[in-house]
Amino acid sequence: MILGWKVALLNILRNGRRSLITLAAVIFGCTSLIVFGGFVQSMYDGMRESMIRSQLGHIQIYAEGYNQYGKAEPEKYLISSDKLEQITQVIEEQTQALVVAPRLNFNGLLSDGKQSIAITGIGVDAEREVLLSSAIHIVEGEDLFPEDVAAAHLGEGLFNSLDAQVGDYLTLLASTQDGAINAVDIQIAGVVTTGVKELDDRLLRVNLPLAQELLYTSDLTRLVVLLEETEMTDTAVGTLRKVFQEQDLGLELRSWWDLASYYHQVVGLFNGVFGFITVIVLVIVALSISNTMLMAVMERTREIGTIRAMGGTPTQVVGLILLESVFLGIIGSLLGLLFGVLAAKGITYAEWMMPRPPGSTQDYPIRVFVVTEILIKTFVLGFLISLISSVYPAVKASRIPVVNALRFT
Amino acid sequence: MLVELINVSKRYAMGDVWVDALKDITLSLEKGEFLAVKGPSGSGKSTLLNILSALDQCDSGTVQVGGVNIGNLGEHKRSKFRNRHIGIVFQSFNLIPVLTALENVMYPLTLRGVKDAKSRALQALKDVGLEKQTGQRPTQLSGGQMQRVAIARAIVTRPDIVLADEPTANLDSKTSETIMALIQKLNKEQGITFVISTHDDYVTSLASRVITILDGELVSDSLNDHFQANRHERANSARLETEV
Repeated sequence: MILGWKVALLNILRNGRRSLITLAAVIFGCTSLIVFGGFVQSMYDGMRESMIRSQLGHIQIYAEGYNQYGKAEPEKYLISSDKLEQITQVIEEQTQALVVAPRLNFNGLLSDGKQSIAITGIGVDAEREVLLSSAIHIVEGEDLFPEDVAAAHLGEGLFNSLDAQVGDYLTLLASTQDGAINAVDIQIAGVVTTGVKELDDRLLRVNLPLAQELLYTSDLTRLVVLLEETEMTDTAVGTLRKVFQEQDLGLELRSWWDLASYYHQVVGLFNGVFGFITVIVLVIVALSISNTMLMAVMERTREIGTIRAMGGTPTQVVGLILLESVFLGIIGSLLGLLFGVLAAKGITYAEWMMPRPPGSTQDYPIRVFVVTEILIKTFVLGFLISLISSVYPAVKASRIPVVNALRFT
Repeated sequence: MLVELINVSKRYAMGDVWVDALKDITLSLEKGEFLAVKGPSGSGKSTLLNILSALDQCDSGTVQVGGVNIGNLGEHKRSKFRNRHIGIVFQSFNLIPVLTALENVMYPLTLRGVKDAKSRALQALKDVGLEKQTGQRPTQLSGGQMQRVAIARAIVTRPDIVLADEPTANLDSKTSETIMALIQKLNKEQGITFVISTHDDYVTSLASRVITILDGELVSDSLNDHFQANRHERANSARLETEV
């Protein structure tokens, strides 16, 4: 048995150039999968964290019934500000949340005197939002401060649609809880981008008291919770759901996973693309390996005939050739992992910029994550594809009549 | 009877033409015989050896080796049969280049998982006088040494019969003599049955029995003079012993 292993291993070294071609195919395949898989993962991660830290937070808490009926009658499903302190305390105790930020959402019109543009407004606690909205970048102007009562942040697209400068005053109109029209003056403190163009075209952020004054309410639409790590979300959701029920707080919650429908669409799309590319890469690698193995086997036809003449069965011949492929697969896949990790690190280190994706407002540097799960899958795929690609050459070799094989020159 | 061929025929297609490689060959062989198969190129010597060694199958007739009808065996069983009962020596040695002399000799034993393969291979190499070259690769050996390794590989499984297809064709005359002396010694001392195809009169002169094949037909089958003389001698001495 050990002799069979030795023959297989030495046969790889015997034709170094051919083995190198086969190894190169496996290494190329593995490296491609690691780099592309790591790039896709970094995109998922970047998009997820961007959404969490600019819009969604990890968990959002609403008054009970908000998600079912709140779109039609949002004013009926608000969280009472009287409960804010108690709820915040519960959340902070149970989840060790970094931030629990109240928000009041509204729709309205923003006017510069010449035109009025529909906006999606959010009243925020400026201090708490600094950490929660860390993925919102200020393009121009300064942060929101609680003491600047009329200060507002405009999305970049919205700002560009208006004939206004930072520091200018604009008029904001919205319906109060009672259905009356109310208006307040706001001052442009800064221009921001969330990275999502659609949102930037409509976004207006003001201090919470101003939003409450505009809507004529002291209540809140939601509480947004930011945890230390995204991975803590499921545990925190479970805990809070249980506590809310036990304490009968009349609240419901949703995690970022439930809210990020765009994220799921993108992940689904890219998983499909990644799967397709994986198949193409594997087919190229398989054809390359199969071709070189076929040539190697044909060159050794006479030797295979000798083994058969000594009493080697067709199965043993297949086993011998597959064993060579196993070695090539293992060596190639391991080297592929090494090259893949080096390439991933190198590309990330180089900080090459990618053009902004559709719907985004920012270019971003290419980052390639080294993901253990992808490394394991790539190793297994590299190994298996080497093995599977050699089945045809191995079976073909084993089926050559012994007499013909011995005559082969 | 170790080997028995009854009405064995074999045809080959060469393009559109069918060629009779063997025609109704009937032949038997006792254990311990040293048979030389003579005949010109293309006469059917190699085909006969291929059929005897279960490398090829006849189209008609019966081939029995050690009581087993090898014509009825499937591919897998024929391989196993070759491994246990047949030793083959090739004209071009056919050693596996990546293995040492010792490993080449061990190889047929490892194919069936023999545990003491190494010690048996060492003994076989000692039998052919190569105990000092065990670690050398084929490229480090002379032609004569390579053929000795090939012989050791053929005998290491303790086969019923060793078939050699022109084993001295690629060797110079002096080396050929050494190889033939070795085969003769193994035949006499260990009782190994040899069947050798050859053009070489020197080789046929050493065999105990010579058959000639011409155009696929067995045209002569005779015992060698020296073997007959030896046989008479042995018979006479046996008679004298009986009389005494």
